[in-house]
Amino acid sequence: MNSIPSANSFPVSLRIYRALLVAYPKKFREHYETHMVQVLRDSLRYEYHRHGLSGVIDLWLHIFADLLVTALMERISERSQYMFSPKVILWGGVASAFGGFFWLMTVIAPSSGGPGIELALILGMGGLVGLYSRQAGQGGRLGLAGFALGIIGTVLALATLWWGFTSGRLSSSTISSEPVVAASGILILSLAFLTLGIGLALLGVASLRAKTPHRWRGLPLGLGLLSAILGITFWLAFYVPLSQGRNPFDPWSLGNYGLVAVFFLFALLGLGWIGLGTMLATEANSDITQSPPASA
Amino acid sequence: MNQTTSNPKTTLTPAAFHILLVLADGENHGYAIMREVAEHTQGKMRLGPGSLYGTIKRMLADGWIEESDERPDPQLDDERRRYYRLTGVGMKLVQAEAKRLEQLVKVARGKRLLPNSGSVR
Repeated sequence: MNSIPSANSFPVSLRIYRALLVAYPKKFREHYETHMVQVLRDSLRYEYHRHGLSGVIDLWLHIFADLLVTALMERISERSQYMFSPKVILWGGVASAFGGFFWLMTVIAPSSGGPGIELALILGMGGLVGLYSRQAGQGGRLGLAGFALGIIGTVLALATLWWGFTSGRLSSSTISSEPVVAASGILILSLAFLTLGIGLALLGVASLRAKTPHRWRGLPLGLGLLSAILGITFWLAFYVPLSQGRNPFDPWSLGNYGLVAVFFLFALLGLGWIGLGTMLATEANSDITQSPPASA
Repeated sequence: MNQTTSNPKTTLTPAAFHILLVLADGENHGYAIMREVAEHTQGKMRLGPGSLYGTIKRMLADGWIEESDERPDPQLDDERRRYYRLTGVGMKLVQAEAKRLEQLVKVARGKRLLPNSGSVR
């Protein structure tokens, strides 16, 4: 039978483990490093006493797997806490309000030629982050899925606009002279707004279920529906005639009515994002619960 | 207010439930909790230091357990050890979960998936 090693046994194992603990966030290490090393020391003594060297090797395999998984979890948990901070909500709200302002600017001054929609979309991402942060993890998987779809939709819309305007595929001259070439860009744009709309709608449902924010809880859902309708309008009024080789802006063509609808939707989206931004900014410091609803 | 502390229907992870079960006997330190959990589960659940203290951290944050300054016998024990004990919320949670499991066992017995408690093997 093996003799029980002294408390100072396994110095190499303990030194290696102490070095590996750097994988955990600093705050976690400060609180638990001494205790984790102590638990490992006790475990090594126990295993060596019971099973000898094979027990120590088996324990190390278990400890290493435990360290990999839990260090990753603690890192994610730490990031989540940063994500759910009042500062993120406040600045997300400010970004959302400015995004709304740029949506309105595209209606008020449509021929200014500035990157109004692009700025509105970029700032809208700040609003998405603020809204997801406001749910503080209470939105669960639905909220996370909505947030991810919202970001994907926004990035896709931005990429399409950048690609469409730099390559000239979405310019007014291409739309009138080569409608089929412009159709693909419009199709992706409509899908992007539809994705953003679905994402916002999911975030909206998560907001209703989690009962956060306190006021104007239906606003994210409304914004989601508006964005989805915008995507469908792009598809019906512009993609369909373009894919058939027709200019959507021919007299009496559907595109002319579609353009009116798009501007109307831009105005509503502008007001909606401003409302969401105001709500987030005013509720940034109120009653944030950080724990997920069903986890230990 | 933290919802997890006020809701007795909160789902426990298996690790958290086993830790609460150990602490239902009284306060204890990390290594002893780990050993008892392994004994309760016939070695099927082996908590490593990371999963043990990660779960403890979340349970402390949720108010299910708390740190204890008392030592069973300071002469015999390492003063660096940290002891934990159940809070009232933690006790309610572990009781609620035990009742839920008891109910499930009753259902399983009703379906003859388990032998009756009085039967001799």
